[in-house]
Amino acid sequence: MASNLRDILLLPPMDGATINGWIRIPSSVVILIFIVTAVIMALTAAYFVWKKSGFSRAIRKSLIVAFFCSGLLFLAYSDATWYGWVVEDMKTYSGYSTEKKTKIFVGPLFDFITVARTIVKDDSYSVYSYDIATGLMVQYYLLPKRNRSISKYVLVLYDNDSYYDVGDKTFVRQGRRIENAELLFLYDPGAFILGVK
Amino acid sequence: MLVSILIHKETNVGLLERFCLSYPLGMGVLTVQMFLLALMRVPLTLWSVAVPILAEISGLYLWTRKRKIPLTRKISFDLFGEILSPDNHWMKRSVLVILATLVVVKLGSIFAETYLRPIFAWDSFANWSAGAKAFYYSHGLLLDAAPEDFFGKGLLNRNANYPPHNPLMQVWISLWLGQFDEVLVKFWSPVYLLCMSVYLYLFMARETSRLISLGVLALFLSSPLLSVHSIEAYSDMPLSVYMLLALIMFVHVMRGRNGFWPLMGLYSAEALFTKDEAPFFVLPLLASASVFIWQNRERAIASKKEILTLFMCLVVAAPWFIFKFSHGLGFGADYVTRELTFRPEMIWKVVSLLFSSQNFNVFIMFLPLLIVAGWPPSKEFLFLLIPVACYAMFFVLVYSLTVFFSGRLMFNTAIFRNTLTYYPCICLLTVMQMKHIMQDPLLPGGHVNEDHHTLPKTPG
Repeated sequence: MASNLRDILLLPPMDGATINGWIRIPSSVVILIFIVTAVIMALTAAYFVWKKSGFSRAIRKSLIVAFFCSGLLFLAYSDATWYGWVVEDMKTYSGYSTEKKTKIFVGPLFDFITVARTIVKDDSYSVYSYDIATGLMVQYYLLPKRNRSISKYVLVLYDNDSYYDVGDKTFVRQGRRIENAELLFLYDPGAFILGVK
Repeated sequence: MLVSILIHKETNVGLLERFCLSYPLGMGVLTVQMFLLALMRVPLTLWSVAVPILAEISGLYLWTRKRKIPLTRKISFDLFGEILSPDNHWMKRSVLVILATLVVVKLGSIFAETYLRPIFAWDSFANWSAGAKAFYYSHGLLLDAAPEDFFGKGLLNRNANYPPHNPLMQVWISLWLGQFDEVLVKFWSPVYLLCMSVYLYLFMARETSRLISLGVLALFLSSPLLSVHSIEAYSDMPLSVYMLLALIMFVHVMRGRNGFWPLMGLYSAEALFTKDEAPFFVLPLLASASVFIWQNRERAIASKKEILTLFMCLVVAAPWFIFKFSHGLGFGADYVTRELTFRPEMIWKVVSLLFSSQNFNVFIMFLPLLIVAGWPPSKEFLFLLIPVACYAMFFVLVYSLTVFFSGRLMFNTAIFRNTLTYYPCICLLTVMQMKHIMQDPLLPGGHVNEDHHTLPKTPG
């Protein structure tokens, strides 16, 4: 709580939207909004009572005033961050084609995917990656080509269980052995594409 | 044209309002039609989808000509009039300009962001766009594919249980583009927001004043999660639009504008075709409407034909549910388990998150306060509150009574995302209650429009 109160004056920006995420507004800002709401309600209610409005009517009016004041505070805070994101995205993505924007968003993995698109001639491939998310990302960008357990093309992305012997042209993964696997593309020693004859 | 025909007796609906009502309605009708074409194994090409649409537009146009139904009404720019009017105090005019600028810039920035970014959220890829891509390239819904691929089941983590409204919108855009464009396929999303915002503004301006309406709209649009969902290919935004429009149509019919019954039915049906949680809003809404009809039996008998159209229009969602049940598709994500538990402490967690002002402006915090301050609420307000409250309560029950939702799910994400679907309704209820408070004849300034049946001219 102490840190929250100290942060009120610093007004840290809200966190960005992440994959599967939600937007976290620092609790210090939320506390600030609560305080502003309470103070404005109290002040305006007192003002309206002083203006001989009657207590009940004063409360009603002060509630509406507090709604707009705290709402505007929230707006100023959240929109400042929002426009920060917009400016950042303009710097990052503006003026590029969709393909380039996707490359910027996905990063180096997209180079691998772009090559895979041209190399994989069939409508299927097998992908093995170091984590599920990367594998799924590859699958998404390679659509309508589909990931199948058996295919003429094998895509490997830093998968610890995969082993490829260049000399023997043999690919081994979890007891499964594929002979005659030609190296079609080598991105780096951990990321490559094989063609199975 | 469909909107103009359905509400041809309502002379008070301006062109802008018609446009705002038309886009969500048209998108829903379009995707249902694409779904039916795909069920009939007609390949989804631009030709096969657009020709029936063109034929329908021509048919509707001839219908309007025959029945002499005017398609357009005069556009009024009353907001500009109010800003430019020398009768208004300079301060009010300045505030109107500032608020209008805030709204326009925010909406513009949302469109700009949509254009800047490719699809970026993981569940957009997995749940919606993977299916859209596969449907687009296969010119169908993969209904004749192997069981593991049926209806795009095996694509990434796609849940085949979900209604195909969202993927089919992406397919429709792709058909026009001639390719699946990672940036442009989601452009339907900000347009939904635009239509919702403008319609909400026009409705609220009628209820209160342009100043209040514009202020509330600016606050509404400042909610971060709403902005993020509006630039991405999620389904929560379209669902929130359909729910809001169905609720506003209910307001109209409660005020004797019977032409809105079929629209209420159509938006409800389209909500059912958008996301699996929609029945938990639509059923309480229908229950609320039924109670309203029962309480106004005499008036209802006189307009039974119009009321019947409400239920007839719900048939639009029937093909999806027939398909769903005939193929054994369940509700919600297929990884959801139905193991029950009892964790009442989750209720507190939900409440504390909702009132924490995370992701949403202060509407959720103030609505209960406004209800208490304006006690007793009007009957009309209660009819509107019940479906929204039932829908919100449904989520609270799910979070506290199921093992999956109370423990295994990314709890905060789910809560905020579900809240987003009824957040515009919360905004509407807040304004309605604010109007109720301001109508208090004892309150100075209680000058808002009180006569529901003789509506003022269309606000602009």
